[in-house]
Amino acid sequence: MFRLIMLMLFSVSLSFAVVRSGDDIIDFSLPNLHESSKKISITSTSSKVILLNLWASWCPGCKAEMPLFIHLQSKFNKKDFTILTVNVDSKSEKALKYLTKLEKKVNLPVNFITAYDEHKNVVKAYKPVGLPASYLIVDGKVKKFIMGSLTKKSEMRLEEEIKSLLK
Amino acid sequence: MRYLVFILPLLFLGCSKKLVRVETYEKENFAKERMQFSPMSVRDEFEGHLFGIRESAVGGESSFSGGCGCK
Repeated sequence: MFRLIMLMLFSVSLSFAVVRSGDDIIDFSLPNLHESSKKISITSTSSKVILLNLWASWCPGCKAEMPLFIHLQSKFNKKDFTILTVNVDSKSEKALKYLTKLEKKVNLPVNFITAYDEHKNVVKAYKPVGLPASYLIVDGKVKKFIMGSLTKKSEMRLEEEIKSLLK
Repeated sequence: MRYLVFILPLLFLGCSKKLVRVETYEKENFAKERMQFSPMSVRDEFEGHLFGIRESAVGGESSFSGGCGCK
């Protein structure tokens, strides 16, 4: 009976398990937002360090950090560091519309990769409590989990961390 | 019997509506304009203006006026 109770508790805890620092990545294969025939996955990204970001166009925090991502990506070679964002909007058009608006606003092209998760499989697998959620990935493992949006200060700290990881 | 006291509530918890978890991507519905307390910001300002006059309380929210209630 004790075993049965423990099994039930274990199954309950499993359903709430989230991906945290030190965990292995959960890979995926999603279409590129701009070119749906192209597939994107973490393993296909040849960079040493990857920043996986889950976002949506209806999320103000996600939109706030997008200009910082453009800035951060521009500082690194794509062989070293890549920002891979996964959009979870109900329609891909919403994300495309927002990114076009962003490009006009910052007067810079969107230089990071964006995948569109139509069936929300990545969010279901990573189970972040909210959006945006970012995962710094090194060698197939989550090095750092960032909940919430980046600020200028945290972006600078992250940049230093990426530089130290690339050494 | 003693164990049933622990097991049955756990089993029935599965039927509880409280366990329904709003997934991250489902929060898009909460972000919709119609889900806001005040769906129209312009109307909100106008209503605040009228409220201030009617209640003789605080000023006309973010509106400037002489207190006539018109806008």
